[in-house]
Amino acid sequence: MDEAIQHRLTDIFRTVFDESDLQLTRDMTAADVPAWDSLSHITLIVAVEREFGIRFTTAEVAALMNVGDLADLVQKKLS
Amino acid sequence: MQLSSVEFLLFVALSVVAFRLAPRRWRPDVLLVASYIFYCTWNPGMAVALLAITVICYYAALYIESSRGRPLAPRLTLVVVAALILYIVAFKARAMLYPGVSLAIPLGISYYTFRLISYLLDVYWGTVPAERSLVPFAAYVAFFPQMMAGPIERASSFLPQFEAEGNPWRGKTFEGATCILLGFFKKFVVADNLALIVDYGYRHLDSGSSLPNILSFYLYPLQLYADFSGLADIALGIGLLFGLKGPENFNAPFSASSISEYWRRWHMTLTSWLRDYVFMPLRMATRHWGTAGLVVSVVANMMLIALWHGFTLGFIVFGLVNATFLVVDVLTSTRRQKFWRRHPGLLTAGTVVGMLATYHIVSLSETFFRAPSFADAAHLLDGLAAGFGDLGGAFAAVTAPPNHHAWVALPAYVLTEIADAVRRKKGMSLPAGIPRWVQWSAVTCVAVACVFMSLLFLARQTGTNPFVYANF
Amino acid sequence: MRIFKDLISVATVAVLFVALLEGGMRLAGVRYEYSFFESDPVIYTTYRPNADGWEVKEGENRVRINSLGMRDRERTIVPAAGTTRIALLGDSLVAATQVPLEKTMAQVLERTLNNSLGQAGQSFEVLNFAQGGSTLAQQYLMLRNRVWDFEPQIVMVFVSPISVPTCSRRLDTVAAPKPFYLIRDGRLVPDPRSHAPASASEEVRRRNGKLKNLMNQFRLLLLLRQAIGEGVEKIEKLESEIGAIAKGASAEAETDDDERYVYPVDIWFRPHASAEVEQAWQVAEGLLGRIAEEARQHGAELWLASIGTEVQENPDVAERTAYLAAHGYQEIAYSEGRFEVLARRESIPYLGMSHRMLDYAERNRVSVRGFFNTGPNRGHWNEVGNAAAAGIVIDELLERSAVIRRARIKSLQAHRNIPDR
Repeated sequence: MDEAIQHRLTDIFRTVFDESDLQLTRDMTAADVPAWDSLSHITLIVAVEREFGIRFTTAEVAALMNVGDLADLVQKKLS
Repeated sequence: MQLSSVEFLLFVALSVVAFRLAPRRWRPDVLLVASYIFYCTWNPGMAVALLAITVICYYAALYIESSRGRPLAPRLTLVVVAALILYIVAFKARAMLYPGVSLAIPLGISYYTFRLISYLLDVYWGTVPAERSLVPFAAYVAFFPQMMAGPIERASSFLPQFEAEGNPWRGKTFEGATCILLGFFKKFVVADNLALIVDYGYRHLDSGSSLPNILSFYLYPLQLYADFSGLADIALGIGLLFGLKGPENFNAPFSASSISEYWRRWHMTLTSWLRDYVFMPLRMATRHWGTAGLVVSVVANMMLIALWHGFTLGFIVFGLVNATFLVVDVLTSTRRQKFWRRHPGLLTAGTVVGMLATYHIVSLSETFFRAPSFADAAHLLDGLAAGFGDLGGAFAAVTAPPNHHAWVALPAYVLTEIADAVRRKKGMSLPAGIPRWVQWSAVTCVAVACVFMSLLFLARQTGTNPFVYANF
Repeated sequence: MRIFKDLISVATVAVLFVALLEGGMRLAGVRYEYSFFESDPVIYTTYRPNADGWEVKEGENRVRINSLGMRDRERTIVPAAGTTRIALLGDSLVAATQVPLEKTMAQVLERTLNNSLGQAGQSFEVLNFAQGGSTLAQQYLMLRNRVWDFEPQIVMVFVSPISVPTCSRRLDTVAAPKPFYLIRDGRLVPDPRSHAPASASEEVRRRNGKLKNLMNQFRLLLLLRQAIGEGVEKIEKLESEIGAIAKGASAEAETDDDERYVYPVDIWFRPHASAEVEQAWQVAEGLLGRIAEEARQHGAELWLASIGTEVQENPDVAERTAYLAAHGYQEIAYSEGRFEVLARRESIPYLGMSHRMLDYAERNRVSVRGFFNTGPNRGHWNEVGNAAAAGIVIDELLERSAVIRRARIKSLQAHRNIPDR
């Protein structure tokens, strides 16, 4: 993952899931974080959109399998 | 072909043997034929409809995939999915308008239309490649163990197993047989006996004592769980005999300490289906509406769960009760999390209170689910506060024949909870490294139990109560 | 050696598991049909002496057969002095295994007679020779070979809707082996094709009896027996269906009077033109004539009583009339009329139970038939029905029985201390 993106995503994750020492990896999924469910997932998406000033489509979000996919998608949207 | 009949057991045995003896190329065909034979014993006319719909969706998916990026893709998806929704709504509506026509809803319609809709949407979104050959696809849609009461399995979990190499049923025969036995035990020993007590309460709403009402109110969720999870176990067990591992539908639902958690543990394949294909798209569309968007999504999702069962007032109220408590839960969840973090000592007590509260919400909403009419549900709830009256007499009346052995359901339920817990932690297959006599003993006991069950079905003392979820 | 030890362990576990299943069945109250019958050289199928089991299909009731093969209290063959004996012959309606012994019509009758007339050193015994599935031929043979030993003063024969069909091999609906009679040259003769079952020999009977008694102790064995029975039935049904399809015949009844498809209830309610049904009636009337002759020879007072179908005793007017109208039946069946005519010809008193039972049910607004596991107004008489039947019988006996009249006089004389004349 791009360093800057990873840094900003880590901040977002820590705020949304209220876990101050969360470390992100590419293959992390909702199963790895207790507070990450379908409700907080959307909160996360909205926060990412706001932070990076981008918009996702439903199809793009449905295709996300892990944190790595999210980082790649953010990268794609920024470029 | 009734599930609890010798004919069905023979049919499963023959299909499994044919499947295992067939060369790998022909296995999908064997399963397809078996599934359609099973379906035809219920309704040959609708079997033709099933086949037609399957073929249409098969070709539609291929077109959608090949025209990705072009406007044809979303339009075709919309048309076919809308048609499927119309198809299922039409049958549910007809069942509501003409009640009393038994099995007015053709077998499995709620389950296979959902399988097809999920498949089409997955292909449209690109999360699953369109299936190139018709036979495995048709076998997935018509897979007979999941026709009666689910689980609703996704193509992405079923099809790859089907096309896997090697001997898929190694170690799964024992697990499959045990699951099937557990499922029938849940149904006949737990659910049917609890049903005797619960039915008594709903038939004697004016008994003058609150005892029957209280029993019906608190026991029905257990009955429904035993009935439904029993059926799911049978479906999974039969799948395992074919070497196919299906999705779990339940995960200790009564250990949930909030209503949201309950719905993540109950009928999981339906709730996850709705989450992926309704809630998420809807939430994405409303994500900038703030709290209102959240409430709308939660309520719509819950109402669809309710309406999936049918279009009666009972189901609607069931949905509304759940939706109300879900919204409260969701809106207060962050505040509650903060509270527990500040007072960790209270967490255990809080969990227990949460479990009790959740069970009460579930019992309340399921009263509307079970009662034959809204008036009856209100009547039952009214009677809860009526006072025990002649408690001894009421108890004698509830436990009079034919209910005099129904108490067996309670220790039996405890046994099934233990079995479920073992299944969740370690699975039902024989662990490796156990002494040979233990292994042979286990297999012998399972074999004896299977023979016993066949004798029970043959002697026709069981199998008079239909499975609750086969009507959806 | 290891494998031997392993096999012993496995066998032990298996036995324990089977015991667990048996225990589980007992805990859950699961019962299957018990064995009460044995073979007999004369009547082919009879209650097994000292059989002990449960009625499970209608109601749930412990049933014991006494040492003389009767569903009754223990009886001595030779009566005590001053005892008036009434012998009952009939089928499952009179055997009444669905209710406890003391609630059966026979026992209620006995108690009532003793309570009201049991003075001056006289007592009454109602001997219940009725057996489930018993036919007129079996009742006639039982009368001739067993009943007279007990020296009854009154014999009551209860006919029911199965009485006439079971006189014909082709119309017979009860599965057990039984003797048949035919009409040859206008005379009633035993059917030469009737043979006692091979298992009727003394030795075989004793061995089978032990096995059957053992089986009655274990629910798993009873389950196995019932499962095998159902399985055999299913296979036979399948075979006949395949046979019918192979011959191109349809499974429906062909004509109304086709004797293969005439059901007992239809024979009960309506006259039939078919030769087979008329033959059955001739045999039934012949057997009743023989029974009457027996009674005359032994100087016993004979009664003919008829018990109707469940629908004739159903106090639910809507249900009853709907059923009768749907089949074109009358409330009083054709058979009941014909039996009454026969009784008059033989100069014996006739008692039609069905309309009297209906009257009782309607007046008291109760169901005289039906149990918790059958629903109301179905099957055999329940406790209320048995008591009502006993009341009807005793009223008729008090009014029309010469034997009972004599007993009444004796009892009144004892009351007033008037010596015998």
